[in-house]
Amino acid sequence: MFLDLDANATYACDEQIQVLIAQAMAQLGNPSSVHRGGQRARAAVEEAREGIRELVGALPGDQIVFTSGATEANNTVVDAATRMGSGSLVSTQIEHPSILAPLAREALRGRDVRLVAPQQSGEILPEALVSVLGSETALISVMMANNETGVCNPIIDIAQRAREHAPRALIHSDLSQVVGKQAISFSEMGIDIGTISGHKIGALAGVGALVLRHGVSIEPLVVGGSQELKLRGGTENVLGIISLGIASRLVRERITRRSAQMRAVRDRFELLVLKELSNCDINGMNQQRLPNTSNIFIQGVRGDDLVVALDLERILVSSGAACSSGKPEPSHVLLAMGQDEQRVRSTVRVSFRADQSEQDAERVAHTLVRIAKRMRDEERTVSHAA
Amino acid sequence: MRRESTAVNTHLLATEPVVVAMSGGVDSSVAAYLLTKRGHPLVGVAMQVWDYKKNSSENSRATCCSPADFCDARMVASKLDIPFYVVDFEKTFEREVIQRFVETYQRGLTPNPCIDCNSKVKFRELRERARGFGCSTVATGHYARIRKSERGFHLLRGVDRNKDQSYFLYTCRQDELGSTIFPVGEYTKPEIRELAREAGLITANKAESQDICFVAGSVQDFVVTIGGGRGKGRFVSTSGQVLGEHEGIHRFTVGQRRGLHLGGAAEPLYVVGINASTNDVIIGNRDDLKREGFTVHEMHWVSPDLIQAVSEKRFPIERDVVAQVRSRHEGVQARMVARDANTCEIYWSDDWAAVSPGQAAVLYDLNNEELLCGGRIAAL
Repeated sequence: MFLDLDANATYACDEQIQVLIAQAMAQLGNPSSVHRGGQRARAAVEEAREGIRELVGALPGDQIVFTSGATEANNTVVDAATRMGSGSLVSTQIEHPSILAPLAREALRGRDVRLVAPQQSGEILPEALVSVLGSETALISVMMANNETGVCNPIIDIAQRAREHAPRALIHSDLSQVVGKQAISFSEMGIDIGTISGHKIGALAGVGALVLRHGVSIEPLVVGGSQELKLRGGTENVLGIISLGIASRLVRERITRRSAQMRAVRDRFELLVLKELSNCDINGMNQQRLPNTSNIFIQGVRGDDLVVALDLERILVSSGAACSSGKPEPSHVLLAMGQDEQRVRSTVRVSFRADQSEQDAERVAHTLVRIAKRMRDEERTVSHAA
Repeated sequence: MRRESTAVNTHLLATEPVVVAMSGGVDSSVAAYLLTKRGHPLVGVAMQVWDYKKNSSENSRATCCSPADFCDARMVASKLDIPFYVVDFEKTFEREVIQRFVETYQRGLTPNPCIDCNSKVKFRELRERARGFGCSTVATGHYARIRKSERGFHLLRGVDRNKDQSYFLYTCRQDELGSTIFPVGEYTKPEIRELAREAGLITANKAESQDICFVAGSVQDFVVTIGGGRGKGRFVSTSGQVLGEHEGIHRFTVGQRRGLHLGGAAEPLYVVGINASTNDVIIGNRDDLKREGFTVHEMHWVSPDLIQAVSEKRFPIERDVVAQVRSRHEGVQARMVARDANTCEIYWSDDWAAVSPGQAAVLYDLNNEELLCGGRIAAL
């Protein structure tokens, strides 16, 4: 049986959600149609919207805008902020590429883009961010939790300090990784806009959302239809949206228990690995971290090869963020934390699901330790031969 | 055409999976197919050796091991229902193959990167990485065969003499031969294509890859781009007469006839020598290429008999052999005299062939079947 420890790449739909999605497929219509088929679809979309609002703790006046995913949501944020003024765009070096790439494009067009470096621990300090802000700053975007290390940033503090120093800025946080793993309250964060990803919480891929604080207005990235209160053109991905609504409700009901379960399993795993394997280290271990994420450096072992060897034993992990290119580059997150390339390439990410047990943690820990030792023995042989 | 039972190293097909190197070409695709037909668990590995995007303006499909080829390999693996991974070998490849390739040309010698790739990348590092995956046996799509006897493992030419690739494999050690499978070496190329069609593999009708997989354009331009070219030099006749100017010794190979652009001679002209210290390219006629013999160094001993003779230091070791001195060469009969473990002298018997320093000379038994040993041709 496969043991999926790559929940941060995608949190595969569990059976309960699969069944509910299949039922929903039977009655899809275009939510913009006047007739009852359209009305049913509209109702389903609005129900999903409320599910997300409750999951992220948004207020009734806050807006939920559906997108094709977190990547589109993040692109929309950068695009909107760029149109809002000519001031600097501020973010961090550890963001997801869906923030970094649009920012890089704006920098090429001559915009002042400033990326703050994290601490060695992986955390973004409010002071470091404040030091690059100006009164003209148009965007401040800081992810709430990093997808690779799981290290959390003090968003409330960051938002508060940012508001003082850059009153005109759109304050954004990518919430993709944190939603579904621990309880959050959008309304208490003090940010203007947040990004949500469907497939990171057990919904389908191809759907995501922006959460806009009441009173915040942005220009759409995708135009050509009046859907989503003219904030995102195009017929709604009704099935995807319904799946996001279902996942939101199921996750919210159990969020405390899910969080505790993931933490217990993850901690058991880390304890075993650290006990049984020498020369390894958990990145960001002493930081506030997502309860399910473990980013492990194992000296003398290639992360990419460890991923392959574990896959052959039916254990799914990754050597960093999920890579769509086929040729993995060393993690920009760990490099930004000041680690050298060799260390970065000797790192794997293990991210647990909420339906896994301590026995699962033991199985993966023992397997990982056995393979790492096998790989290290060979490295010793090779260096003798050379 | 059903020859599975004759393939050697079937004793390796025990319980642990075999790593099969898959380039995205038809040969390695069929290698994987033949092994799956025997019901053996496989792990498909594509070796990422060179960043084509970074190193070339074009993303040519004429090369092998490019992203498009890996896409084909992935499709084949999916069809055969085996796991498939792209594994990064770029650092080793750059150090052991590319740098040596460029430096050899710059020194006025002729490199053979496929041999370095086989010995340092495919049969050394791939094997180490495979062990990390829990696999001690590696299969490739080479046209060559391995036979086991009481004395050890014997490396033989592939059944299809037109496609035989044993020449590139002379650095294989006994332990490597003992844990390697060459499934396609038992077949001819048309049979391999037929098998690919039978299996419905996407690579069945794919064109042959170029000789040098990492060079999309001209070899000489590649050398200049990566390593910087050597300065201009002179064409000089064997009697010392200056015949003209050339664009750098890295552009020439001993034995080369084409591309000299030296008109007016009654007989065809050849490069008969390259002097790296003066940048001179020596020009002569075919007879000027003729030698009684030549020296080979960096010897690798492959056949169990020779390995034993060398380990017992029974020098000089003499054998009548067939010497193959470049990749497309049928081989010519010669006398081999080894005076130590690293060096070997070769004396032509009746016929002869022009040799290019830097290239490999590989020696076979008189049946031109079993590979005995090989090394690099020394400067003349």
